[in-house]
Amino acid sequence: MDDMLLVAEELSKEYKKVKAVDSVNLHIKKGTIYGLIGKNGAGKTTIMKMITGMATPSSGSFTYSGFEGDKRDAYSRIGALIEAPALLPNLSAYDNIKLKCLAYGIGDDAYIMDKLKLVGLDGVAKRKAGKFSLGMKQRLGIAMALVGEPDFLVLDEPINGLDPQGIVEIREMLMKLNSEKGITILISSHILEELAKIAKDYAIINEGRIIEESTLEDLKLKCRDKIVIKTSNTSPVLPILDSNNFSDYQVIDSNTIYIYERLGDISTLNMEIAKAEIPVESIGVQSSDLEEYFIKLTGASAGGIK
Amino acid sequence: MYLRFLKSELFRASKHKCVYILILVLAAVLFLESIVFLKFSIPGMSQDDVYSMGQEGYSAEGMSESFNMGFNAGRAVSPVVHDEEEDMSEEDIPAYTLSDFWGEGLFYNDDFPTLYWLNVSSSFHLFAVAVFTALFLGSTYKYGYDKNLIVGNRYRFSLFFARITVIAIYSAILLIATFLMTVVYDLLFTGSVDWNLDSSVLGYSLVSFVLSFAFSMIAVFIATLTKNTAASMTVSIMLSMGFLSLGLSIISFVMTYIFPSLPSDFQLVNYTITQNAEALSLQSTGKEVLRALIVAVVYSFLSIEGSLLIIRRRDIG
Repeated sequence: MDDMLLVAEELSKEYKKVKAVDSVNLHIKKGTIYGLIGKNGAGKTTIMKMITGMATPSSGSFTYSGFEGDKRDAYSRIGALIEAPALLPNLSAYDNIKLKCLAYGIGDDAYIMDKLKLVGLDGVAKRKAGKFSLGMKQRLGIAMALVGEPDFLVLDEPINGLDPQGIVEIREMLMKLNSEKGITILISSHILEELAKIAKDYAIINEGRIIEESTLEDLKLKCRDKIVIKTSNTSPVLPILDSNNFSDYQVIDSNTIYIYERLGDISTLNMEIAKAEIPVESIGVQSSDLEEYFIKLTGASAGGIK
Repeated sequence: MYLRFLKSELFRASKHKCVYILILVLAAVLFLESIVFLKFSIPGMSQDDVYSMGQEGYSAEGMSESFNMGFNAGRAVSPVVHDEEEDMSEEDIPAYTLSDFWGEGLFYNDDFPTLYWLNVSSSFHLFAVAVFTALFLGSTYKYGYDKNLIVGNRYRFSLFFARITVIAIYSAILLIATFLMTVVYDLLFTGSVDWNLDSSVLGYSLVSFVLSFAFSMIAVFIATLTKNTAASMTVSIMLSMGFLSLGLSIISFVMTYIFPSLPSDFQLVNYTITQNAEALSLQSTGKEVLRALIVAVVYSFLSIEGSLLIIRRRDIG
């Protein structure tokens, strides 16, 4: 537990008898980049609001490592960009950051310009935020979240509206903040491909519930290409796999086996199983990426495809 | 924390265009009011009309009571050249020229404190406070700005009190601006300032400020409740214009009917901020001042408590 920054237990939030978040457990390690994956309306934003103190949980609790009781000290170490960037459009980018700096009692001109430079907006510091494109607003929102040098950065769909170049820049910036300054980052997105490039740990959320919490390694394992054998009973198949020198396989349940190696040997394997007169319902190579895996999981939860 | 928030909110207010626009509008309104109070008896009436009225035994004072800037009615002014008791002769009516406009050539001989009281009691500053409060608070709700400040330092009440301090400061600025503009316009239209200052001016200003603050707290409560700039501005402006008095008059009538023991002159409207602001004068007695202060304190307390209750129960963003 010592390596945990945040542990949430049975966190729930109800809005007028509708459960937006239902008994969520989260374990965010110090120094990680934690990805929260979920469809729109899955409950990602509500979770983020609760753990940043913007919304009061209906039930459950969460603890920041080292901050017991009054969470305000913990909140002081958080920077957040939740939902749309909360900018005042009639103020310049510079003044928007200055406002927050004044409220925090920190920063001078150089500090403000440094934050703007970090997100590539130093050239438009005096331009009104209302004139910014969506991508520029996102960058400014991130810059504002970084005011106060937080230990924990909570970013809700931060790459929304960014062009490909912008996405790369933000990704590199976040990875730099994580590796160089040790900032723990909680990031939500529905662009899974992008999240996969940055996050080290994941939680998949659907209809207010965490379906799965895992590491990148676990996910990669689950998503990599494999031979899938469906049979009425997996037990007699296993000696055949061993005798044919297959070692990287996994028995998923009494009917399913995943084999992660020598995908080209599928015909030989099929023949060996047939020779042993074991009835096979299906055998084939299955490719799966993160997105597919996510759809399978959330679809399963919704009673859909499996 | 409060002081940091105050610094930040003062900076934010300084960037609001409405802060300056409302003072410019106040200047324009006071300009018109001062002209009317000093130079013209009744807008739209010629000197011949005024002369004819005098000949027919009518008083220009009576007509002036129907004049208001849209916010107030019922003030009394004192014509220089005649009063209700005497007929006007043709010589009494000043023959205006353009040069009379700037400098001497008064229709009324109000001294500076009276002109200041006339300008304050027109309640335009309440209108301006209502607009400012709706815009100043409304923008934080509209753009979800509080998310930036509260995440990281969850001192919502400090932020709230910093904001009402800014609104109180702006209320004070509007009253000070009214004072200064009255000086300028008095000088401009009469050629000199008949100061005649005594403690009643200071006392009147302080009670007016307390009433103005109480009114702004009602506007704060409405803005906090509705989270909507247009709705809060509309309701606050209607209150500043005394619209509430219409409903209260009916309620008062019903109450005196149900409770015959109530005094026949019982009027709930006497316990509103706007009514007290308008009724207050430089000559107000201790009882009137006390009532105004009690009304202000009660409204302020209820509005602040109501706002805090909403803030306590509501999530941010």
